[in-house]
Amino acid sequence: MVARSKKVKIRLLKDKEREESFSEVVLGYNHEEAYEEAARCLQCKNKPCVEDCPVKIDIPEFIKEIISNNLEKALQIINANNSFPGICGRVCPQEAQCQTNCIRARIGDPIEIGELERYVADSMADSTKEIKPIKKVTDVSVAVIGSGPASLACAGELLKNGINVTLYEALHELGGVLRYGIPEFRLPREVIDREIEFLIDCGLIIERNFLVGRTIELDELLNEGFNFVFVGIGAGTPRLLNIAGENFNGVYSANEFLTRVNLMKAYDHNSDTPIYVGNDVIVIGGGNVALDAARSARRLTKGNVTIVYRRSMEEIPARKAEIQHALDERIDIKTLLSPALINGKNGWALSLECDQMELTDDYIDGRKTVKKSILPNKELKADTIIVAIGQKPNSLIKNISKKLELTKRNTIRVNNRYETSLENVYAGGDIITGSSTVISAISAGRKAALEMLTKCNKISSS
Amino acid sequence: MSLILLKEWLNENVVKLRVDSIISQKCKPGQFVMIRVSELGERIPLTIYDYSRHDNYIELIFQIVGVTTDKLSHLDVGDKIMDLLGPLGNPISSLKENKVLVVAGGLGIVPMLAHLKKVYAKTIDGIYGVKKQDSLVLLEELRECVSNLSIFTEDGSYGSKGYVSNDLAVMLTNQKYDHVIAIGPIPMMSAVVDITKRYNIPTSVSLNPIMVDGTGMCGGCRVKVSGEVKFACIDGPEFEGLEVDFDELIIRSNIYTERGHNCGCEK
Ligand SMILES: Cc1cc2nc3c(=O)[nH]c(=O)nc-3n(C[C@H](O)[C@H](O)[C@H](O)COP(=O)(O)OP(=O)(O)OC[C@H]3O[C@@H](n4cnc5c(N)ncnc54)[C@H](O)[C@@H]3O)c2cc1C
Ligand SMILES: Cc1cc2nc3c(=O)[nH]c(=O)nc-3n(C[C@H](O)[C@H](O)[C@H](O)COP(=O)(O)OP(=O)(O)OC[C@H]3O[C@@H](n4cnc5c(N)ncnc54)[C@H](O)[C@@H]3O)c2cc1C
Ligand code: SF4
Ligand code: SF4
Ligand code: FES
Repeated sequence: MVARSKKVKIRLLKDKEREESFSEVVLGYNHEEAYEEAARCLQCKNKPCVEDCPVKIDIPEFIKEIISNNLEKALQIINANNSFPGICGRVCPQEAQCQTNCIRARIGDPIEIGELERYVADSMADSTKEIKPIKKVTDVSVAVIGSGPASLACAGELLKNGINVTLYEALHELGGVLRYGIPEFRLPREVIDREIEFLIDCGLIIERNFLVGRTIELDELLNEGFNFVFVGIGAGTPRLLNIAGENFNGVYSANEFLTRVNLMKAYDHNSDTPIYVGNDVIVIGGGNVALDAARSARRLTKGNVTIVYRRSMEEIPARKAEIQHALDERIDIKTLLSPALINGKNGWALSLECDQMELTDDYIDGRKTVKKSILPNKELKADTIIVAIGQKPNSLIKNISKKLELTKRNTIRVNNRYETSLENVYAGGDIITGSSTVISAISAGRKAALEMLTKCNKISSS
Repeated sequence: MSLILLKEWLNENVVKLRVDSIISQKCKPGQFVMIRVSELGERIPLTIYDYSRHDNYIELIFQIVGVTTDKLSHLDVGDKIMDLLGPLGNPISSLKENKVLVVAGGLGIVPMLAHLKKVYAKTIDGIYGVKKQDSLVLLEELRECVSNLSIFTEDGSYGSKGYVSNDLAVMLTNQKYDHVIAIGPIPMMSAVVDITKRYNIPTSVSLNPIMVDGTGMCGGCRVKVSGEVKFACIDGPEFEGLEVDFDELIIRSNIYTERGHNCGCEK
């Protein structure tokens, strides 16, 4: 087949079928499509794609194995750097990472690296997975706190090297934001389950319903005989607008809304967890979280769903593909509006009043800034308002250990080896960076694990 | 999974459970747990009524009011509670003032008795109010902690007829109290605070907004205290009642009773 400049089209669930169902929207490549897309890869010697992947997967090598139809080998190559290809293939912002400098993009579309990664992971899911014999089991044990991507990646790397790992998670299910934040229509639960299942098969011990800092303290874990502790507790507290009317009924933080839907399955008729979704839903924000909230709301109401963003369409931080999905799903996006006040009656939200903004000529972080314009306020009807303007670290972090040094932003301070101010305690993921990405959390968890491995080798050889 | 060791019906609607749990090693009076009893079940908060570090158990006392408490009441000794997370919230601060008045309404008696373990005042007077005589629970336990106790029932079937707030103003005029603790349904705490505010007496309350995770992650439990947004699950549940915006809290607590489970399905 002649390599083309256009990518192989990705099949999607029909718009109509999406409105009431939480089934996955992106259907992924089948065998022929994956082969055809893989064949477009130029197998560049200098591998610019690898450069931009935070975990440095050998992309041309695994793509080559797709072409030779040796998917087992392809998976091995991916797994050498990333144990969560089904997840990353779906949620990585590839256009800002591995695909950014793909040579193919110079005269057409970049290679759909994420889709190919996902194809390999999904195709290999059913084949009897044989667990690689683990290297001689050591007597080193590590406690991992939290079960988001950072912690899972850290645990995975340690298990591979024969370290005993016990994971402590506050919630009743594992996965962190993958479970309670990112909706099923973007990341099916089977994919998360499957990739966690693998760790369990490798010997991971799991303690759910375990809030470190309350159920047990960090110092106790160290005293109880864990050689190292990894803190991967994410940055899970929602930022609020602090405008009048924010506590009216019908106003949710995106975290609460998404947790009710994803973790507690409020969309399922048999779920006991209630949720209120009215006829005029407004989501405030422009990131992935806002898009996820709006698209979830779309599936729970026949009414209007509108995203309100304070800058312009060019500045929206969410992924382009997500924005396109949202538009296909009849979600309206209104820009240059900044929430000023929520009006309500009898305790319930009725409308959102916004200042109209205008772009200035200044840039911050490559994005144009805005200022209040002289135009009059705009009032938008709203009985459900979802605030999705970002997350910050949970103030409970102070309970985890009084000796853990924090930054001004309440994130945990680490050095370039992911070591915290406490000896043998490491941290990674959103809790050291603030809200970031799944793959950067994975990368941090893995690197912290490698640091621990180096350190214990040093100890045992000295 | 947490094993139920003992089960006792305190009346036809109120159950006490003793549950095997490592939470007992850490918990302090005033803290609570989040439980979930079934797949697709909801997470609900319950106060830790009592605990034994030695025998590794905690005790919960709950009233059957809806779906989850009903499911929980069907579990028996030997069954397990699927998910139990805790101890959550801040322990209560101890009180060493001279004269303290405690006001308990309904099942507010449960956190109240947890509080009383931490009150070392010379005199503790009490008011306890419920709907009807059958709803009075833990009366003996309360009597042990309180010297002067007045009891109210809404229908007059026991004690005086009326509400806990009825004689409050008179009591506060006749006696000088250093501190009031009020725990019960939100409208009751609001009514008590309306009165103690006039006498400017510090009033501890224990708030029970709707919660989802109980770990500070969702913001669903937010309440306004001194004009600032607080999350009851990590900043509370105990607050200075004089500073709490009760009107807002009352409205927020009714969200699912007023508009119910509205997601387009038939529930
Ligand atoms: C709605 C939403 C959509 C997103 N979409 C994308 C996307 O498409 N692509 C992308 O790359 N990124 C996305 N992100 C960002 C990404 O999910 C995060 O950057 C990533 O999950 C961070 O991983 P983490 O392991 O650091 O923490 P988290 O995923 O936040 O996990 C932390 C875990 O620790 C647990 N925990 C917290 N405190 C304690 C404690 N004291 N004891 C025990 N356990 C504790 C929490 O319950 C949680 O399970 C999204 C985020 C959100 C909220
Ligand atoms: C910190 C705290 C401690 C509590 N301690 C106790 C206790 O020791 N004993 C006891 O009987 N009850 C206690 N409650 C109240 C208890 O959580 C509710 O009775 C319970 O959630 C009702 O759930 P349900 O499914 O049976 O009722 P439903 O009416 O079916 O619940 C519907 C929704 O409303 C919420 N809800 C209903 N009533 C309350 C309430 N009073 N407070 C908070 N959320 C509510 C539920 O969680 C659920 O989301 C406490 C609440 C809090 C916040
Ligand atoms: S892990 Fe993410 S960034 Fe790396 S190759 Fe896969 S999709 Fe691209
Ligand atoms: S840059 Fe693009 S074309 Fe080149 S090897 Fe990487 S994926 Fe293939
Ligand atoms: S219950 Fe979610 S933040 Fe308190």
